[in-house]
Amino acid sequence: MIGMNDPGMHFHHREVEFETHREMKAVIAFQRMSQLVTDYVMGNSGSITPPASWTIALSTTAVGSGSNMMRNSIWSATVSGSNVNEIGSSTANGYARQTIAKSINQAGIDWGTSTFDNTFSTGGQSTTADQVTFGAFSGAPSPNGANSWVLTDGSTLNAGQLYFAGDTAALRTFANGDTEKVTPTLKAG
Amino acid sequence: MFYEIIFETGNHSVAQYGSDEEARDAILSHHNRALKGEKAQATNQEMGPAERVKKVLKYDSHPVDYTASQAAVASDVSAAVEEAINENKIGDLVSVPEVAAAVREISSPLVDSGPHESNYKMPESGELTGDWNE
Repeated sequence: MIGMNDPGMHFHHREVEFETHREMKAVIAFQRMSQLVTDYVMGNSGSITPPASWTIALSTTAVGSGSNMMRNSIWSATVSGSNVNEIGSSTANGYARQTIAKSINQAGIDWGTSTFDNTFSTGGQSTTADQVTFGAFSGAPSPNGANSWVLTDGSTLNAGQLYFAGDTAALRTFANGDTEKVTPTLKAG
Repeated sequence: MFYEIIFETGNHSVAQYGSDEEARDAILSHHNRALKGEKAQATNQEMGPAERVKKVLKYDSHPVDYTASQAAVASDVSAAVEEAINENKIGDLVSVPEVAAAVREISSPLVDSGPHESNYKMPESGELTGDWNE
């Protein structure tokens, strides 16, 4: 489980259903997520809109400031500055983005019924998506080594919008026959 | 090529492989781990057990691309609006947000399917068979 003590949005995730312990991990909300609130939710924009569905990706880039993720980060194959780099973009070896529907308790993989936390400093409304599965990998993807998962859109690797991300519990490297599971939770408060 | 792997548990995954042979090797490797009661990830024992594979469907592109443009046939939109109005109207009034939600649903690439059926609207180009079918 991860969380963020920030007066804006808070994100949590349970990376594996089978985890017996939970750890606080770094998280980030990117500019586009905030812009959806200001322009689409508040302003009914017809151009700043949510995608047809969400996709979830694995990234080599860790959440954090400096050379890691920043609020204005972009997807890029170039590992530089605050660029976000996706695993498997040179050699997929079984890697592809997974889909989360833009619905609540309707499609096979979508968001659950949201709940409310009334805590003054860290509370808010939260929802957890159904677990997604990556792989099975046919070998080591290139690049390999996931430090974070990212809520994004589209299927093209190292492209699309960034919405929010969280660190994986540890660096995950993949080999033939492996699968990886992620269960993202969004807490907005 | 993209492959939708449907596990016996009802979980789904989309994977990209260069060939059917590469896909078979990877998928069978995971399936065999499940048959042996092994973990899903060799280097991360907390990831839980491997899962037996039930079915593998093939796509020429990632099935999320089917509706990514969010462009729809005008008559489909009209039909969705009419259906939403008929389902939600009370007298002469209907909730605009409920109609809008019905229209937005048109561009979803996903369907609510059975646990061993495809999660996607995109028609598959075929099925990949392998030893997991035995």
